[in-house]
Amino acid sequence: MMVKGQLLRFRCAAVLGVLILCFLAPTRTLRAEAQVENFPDLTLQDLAAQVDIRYGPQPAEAIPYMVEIKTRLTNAMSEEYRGIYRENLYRLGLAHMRWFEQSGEKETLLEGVPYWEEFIAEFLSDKRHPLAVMNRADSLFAGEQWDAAMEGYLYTTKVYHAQIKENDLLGLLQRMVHAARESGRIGEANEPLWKFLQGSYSYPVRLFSLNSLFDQSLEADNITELLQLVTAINADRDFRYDIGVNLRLLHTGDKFEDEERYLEAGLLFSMVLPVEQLLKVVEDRLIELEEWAFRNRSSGDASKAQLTELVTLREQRLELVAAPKYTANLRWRQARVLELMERKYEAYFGFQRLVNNYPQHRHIEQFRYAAFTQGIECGNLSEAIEHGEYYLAEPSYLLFEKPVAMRLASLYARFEAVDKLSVLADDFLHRFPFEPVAAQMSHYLGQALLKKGMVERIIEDFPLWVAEYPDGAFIDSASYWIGMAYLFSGDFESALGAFNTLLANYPGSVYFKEASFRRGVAHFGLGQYAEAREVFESWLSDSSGHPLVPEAHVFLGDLDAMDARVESALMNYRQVEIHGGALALIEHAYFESAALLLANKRHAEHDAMLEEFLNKYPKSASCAEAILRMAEAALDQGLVLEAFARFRSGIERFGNDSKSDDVDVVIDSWWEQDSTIRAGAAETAAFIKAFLGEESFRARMLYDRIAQIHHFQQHGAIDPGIKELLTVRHPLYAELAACTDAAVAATGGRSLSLEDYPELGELLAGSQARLAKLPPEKPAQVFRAMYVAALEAGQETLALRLLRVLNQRDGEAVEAKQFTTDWVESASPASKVWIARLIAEDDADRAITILVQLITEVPDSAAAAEGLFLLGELESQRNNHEAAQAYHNRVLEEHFTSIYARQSAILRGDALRQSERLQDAVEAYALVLNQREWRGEVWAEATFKMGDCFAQMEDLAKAQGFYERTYLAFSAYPDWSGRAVLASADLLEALGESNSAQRTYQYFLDLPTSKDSPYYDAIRRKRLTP
Amino acid sequence: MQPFLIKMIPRLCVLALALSSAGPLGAAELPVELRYPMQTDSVILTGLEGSSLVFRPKGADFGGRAYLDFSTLEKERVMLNFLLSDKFYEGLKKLKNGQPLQALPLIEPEARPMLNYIELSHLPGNYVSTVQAYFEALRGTGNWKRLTTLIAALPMREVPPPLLDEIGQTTLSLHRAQAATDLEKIHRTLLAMDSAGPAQLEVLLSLGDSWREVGEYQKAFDLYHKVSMEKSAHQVVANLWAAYCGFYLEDSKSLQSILQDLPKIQINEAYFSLRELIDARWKLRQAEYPPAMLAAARGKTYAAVTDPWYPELLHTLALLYEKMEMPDAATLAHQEVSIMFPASQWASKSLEIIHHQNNKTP
Repeated sequence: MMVKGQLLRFRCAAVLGVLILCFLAPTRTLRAEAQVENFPDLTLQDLAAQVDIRYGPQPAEAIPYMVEIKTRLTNAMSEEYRGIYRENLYRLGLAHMRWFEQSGEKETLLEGVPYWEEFIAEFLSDKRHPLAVMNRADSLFAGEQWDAAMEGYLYTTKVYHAQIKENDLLGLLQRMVHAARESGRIGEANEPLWKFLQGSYSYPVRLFSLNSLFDQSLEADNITELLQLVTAINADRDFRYDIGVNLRLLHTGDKFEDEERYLEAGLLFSMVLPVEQLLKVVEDRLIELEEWAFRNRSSGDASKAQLTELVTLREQRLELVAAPKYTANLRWRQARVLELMERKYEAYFGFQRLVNNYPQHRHIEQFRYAAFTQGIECGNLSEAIEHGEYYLAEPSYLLFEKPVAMRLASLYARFEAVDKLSVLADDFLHRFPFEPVAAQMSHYLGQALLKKGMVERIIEDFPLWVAEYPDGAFIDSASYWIGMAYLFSGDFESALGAFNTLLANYPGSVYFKEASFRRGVAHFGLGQYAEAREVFESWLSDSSGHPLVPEAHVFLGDLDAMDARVESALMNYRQVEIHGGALALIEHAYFESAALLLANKRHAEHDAMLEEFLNKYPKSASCAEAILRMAEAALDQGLVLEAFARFRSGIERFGNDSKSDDVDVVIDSWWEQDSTIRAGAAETAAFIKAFLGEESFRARMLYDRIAQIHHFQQHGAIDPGIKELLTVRHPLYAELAACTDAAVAATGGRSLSLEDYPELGELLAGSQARLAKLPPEKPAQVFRAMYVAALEAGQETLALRLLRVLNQRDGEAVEAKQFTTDWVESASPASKVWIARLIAEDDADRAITILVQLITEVPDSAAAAEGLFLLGELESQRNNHEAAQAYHNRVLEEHFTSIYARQSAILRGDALRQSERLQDAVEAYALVLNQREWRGEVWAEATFKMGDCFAQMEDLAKAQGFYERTYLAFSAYPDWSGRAVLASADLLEALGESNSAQRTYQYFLDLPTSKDSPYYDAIRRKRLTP
Repeated sequence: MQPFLIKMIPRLCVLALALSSAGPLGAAELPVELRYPMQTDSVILTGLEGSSLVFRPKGADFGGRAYLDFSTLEKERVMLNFLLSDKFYEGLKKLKNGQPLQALPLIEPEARPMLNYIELSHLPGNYVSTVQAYFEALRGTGNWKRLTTLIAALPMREVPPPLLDEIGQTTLSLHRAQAATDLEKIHRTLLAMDSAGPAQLEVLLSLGDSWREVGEYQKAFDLYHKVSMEKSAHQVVANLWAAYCGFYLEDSKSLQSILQDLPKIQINEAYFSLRELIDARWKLRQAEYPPAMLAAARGKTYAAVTDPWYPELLHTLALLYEKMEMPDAATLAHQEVSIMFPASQWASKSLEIIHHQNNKTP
């Protein structure tokens, strides 16, 4: 037993023998002779002499003499004998311990215990009392009397903890803990052990106490006490920086992690300090002390304590240097436990640190994978992608290749990084064509390509994979996306074929349902409505709960609408919402339902339908459209006041919501409708008055078609009914012609009476009636009042909306400086663009900032198109042509149907020209010419500018071709034809073909529109001076 | 007189000698001992003139003066010991025994005149320890007015770091004694110190830490801000702590400007995690939870558990987990801070939240 050797360090034994002899040496009267029981021949002095002879070498033999001394002096009363008695008693205890030392028989110790007990009981004030208490406990300990020993130790630590020497205290505690274990009273040892954690005790004692308590709390699974210990460690600098304690925490954390007790594990792991940190603390102090020692090497001022610390630190340093390098594993554990505790953000950075700090670690592959997955978990997707890409690029990483590839593919799909996804999918499908996950990879790619509209790539690539691996696990997925690609490219026949093949060959495929549904869509696209209806109805019958159910009802609703099955259509549209369709489908259903109701003059239901939509989806971008539709329906019914009430209601209801710019459309509509009605009434009245009152005017309107068209173009507000009345087929035309001489003089002629032409009277009355129903105030007055009210109510968004319309339509003065940052923040998208336009001249940077924020926050809004357009213009002004062309390109890609698209197409070409990307510029202009609906002046401009591009590229033949095409095909646009003529003639002149140049000038001058051109004079001069 | 001068000349590199009949130089005459590496001279310090100490021989004053330049004394590694009486040492003993009232009358007569020679505090010797003892005695007896007057009269720029630290401790004592006016006076004196040296700045920084730890963010902010204005090794950390205190002072505008000026700190550099904590707290207040979470988690990852701001970082993380609707993670983080740092204010806050949550749970 380890502790046996320790307890046999008898306290004060050496001096005691001498003491007794000293007591007995003087010749005194031995009054105790009468009590002799043994050794009757020996006097006390003789007995003492015998003891002295035997005590050292043969303590067992000394004991009877000592017992005899004790017996003889038991009742001695004198102080002197009492003193001898006490010394003898103490030595008796020691003699038994020495005897045990020689014999190893524990009984010898136990025989000594009564002497210790007597000493303890009788001589409380003796300075050796603490030693006696300890010796008794140690004797009991060695005698394996665990309970009694425990009692002894508890008593000792309670009463004499301050008196016991440090070295003895450590041994005592060790034996106490052992006795506590043996006696099953380990819990009772805790109280003293906690006491010995205090800083006033030596470090070995404190450390032993800590470790014992740690053991005990772990064994007893007493987590409360363990956590108290953790707190104690944290609060004690010595413990915090002790390598042993740190390793202990680490291993205990492991234990808890194995037991899935993550809080405890996490706590312990977070407590562990890296070995480098421990070393740093020791080395810092060591350096400090070494410097101090060096400075004081000659003065002799060095204190003993500091020198001792120096030696200790040197030892600690060596220990730390030799300690296992556990930091990486510690970090790994910390991150892992955090991950298990779902503290994913901390876990992510934990893994990332491992990747950065331990690139050569044997678990680096796991680190990288964990960083990747946790990056995704906590939404650090761009960094996660970097980890994933790094992982896949490292040839030695194989363990998680498939999950990394799959999750990376999902991220690529999410960010529409189709090029990267294509490369990844191609590589993956070739490596793992027969793995079930290959289907998922194919799915990601197909979905992403379709979303980006890159259907050609699906049609080109996917069949190649199918051909290469006809038994691959992804064939059904590839077939589905091939079908989808055909469907979206309008090749419904091929789509139908692809879906039919999939359904025939893969009846168990996960795509079966979708493919079945898409068959219906393909039939719909082919105009095979009966087949489509059959497919959708059949599909719906066994697809309850399928996400495509709402879409099926949309199709059925549309089919019903086409067949004029109004009630059935309404029912199907109603199902879209019931089955949780996407908002776009719901909007379609509501608005198509409303259209059906309106077509059937079910005005009340129409309005109710749209009101319901507004109430249910007040955040929808289509709310303004609903309001507009209701207002237009009201106008159609002649309910002008109601229409304007609708406008007002929409503005008041949605006007302060900055996220939508549809309210701006409503505000503009109000203004435009009001203006249209007012202008309509005025222009209609003026027309009828002139038409009836002036025969010459009437003659022009009746017999000169071009003059009539021109007049109606200039007076667009005239009631369109008048145009119908003036068509040759209308009966009124003949009546009027009869009273109108075609050759009448410019002034004068016959006047006609309105009463004779009731059709005209009705039109006039109608326009006047509409005028009468307008709100009494003009829009400017109404909006100004609303603006003031909005400001007072703190409705900044609405106020800005109204200010915009007042500024743009009524010239309300505004100053750039009034648009503070906060105010701009609260503006609607349309208002922001307006503000940016206003301030751009003075502060282009701020305007750009506002616009960039706008296109980032609401990239799909109508205002974003104008925002992008304006950004393009501003960047051009700053000669940032690359940025300008990129913004214009976005207008084309994201807002092709906006009014800014055609201008952006031209400006993009201009910006590319400025960047000297001439071939790209040609392609940009060609885009304009490819849009048939853009026919008109913009075609002339694009054609001319393509000529310019080729001229710059010195491809003069092509340049000449485009210039000629411009002035030949677009002579109606004399600005561009004039420019083209000059440019073309210049080229001809340069080639020495002056005659051809002259003919070109003359061609232009002969055109009826040539005088309208700003280049007319220049061309004429050139023609006159060849 | 003459022998003394003759005796001194060979040992001093530069000794300006003058025979003068001028009187005292405005300060009390004090007996001192000049300890050279190989020899010791006992003389009377009569005053300071420019960069020189003025001495005369012991005994009757016949007007003779010796001038010793500071730089010379420093170069020669001269130790300047003021010769103090036994009474002083008796006072010192009483002070150590916790009897400041009895100590003060014994210490004060000898230590107080020395304050006129604050410039000498930079020389090795017993100046600093003597004045320190005097301050301590005044503090111990609660003689705030006298102490404040004495400190306010000191040329702060000359005050050596140990004494500056003593003055800092005095302000903390004044805070505890709720002597607000005196405290403010000394605090202002400290802030008014111009061109503080690196060691002085270190003391001010440490004092800032003390104020921060007791939650006196304005005072802490003042000191950090002062330290951050001077070029020194402490500039970055002072800036960071100023921002931290600014956060708790809820002065959003000035905080914002401080935050903008905060230096970028690399991930493995000291105070990176503190920087992240400040960012996280700021963003948390702005309800920008995801970026706040990233800053806090990054900060915690690169913090040492022994960093003083670690408990707050952990508590902030717990709050953010709550805000981001991850209640289990939040509870675990709150538990962690309350177990690991039970004595910190963050543990109390975390426990309060846990308690509140437990009461809410049906």
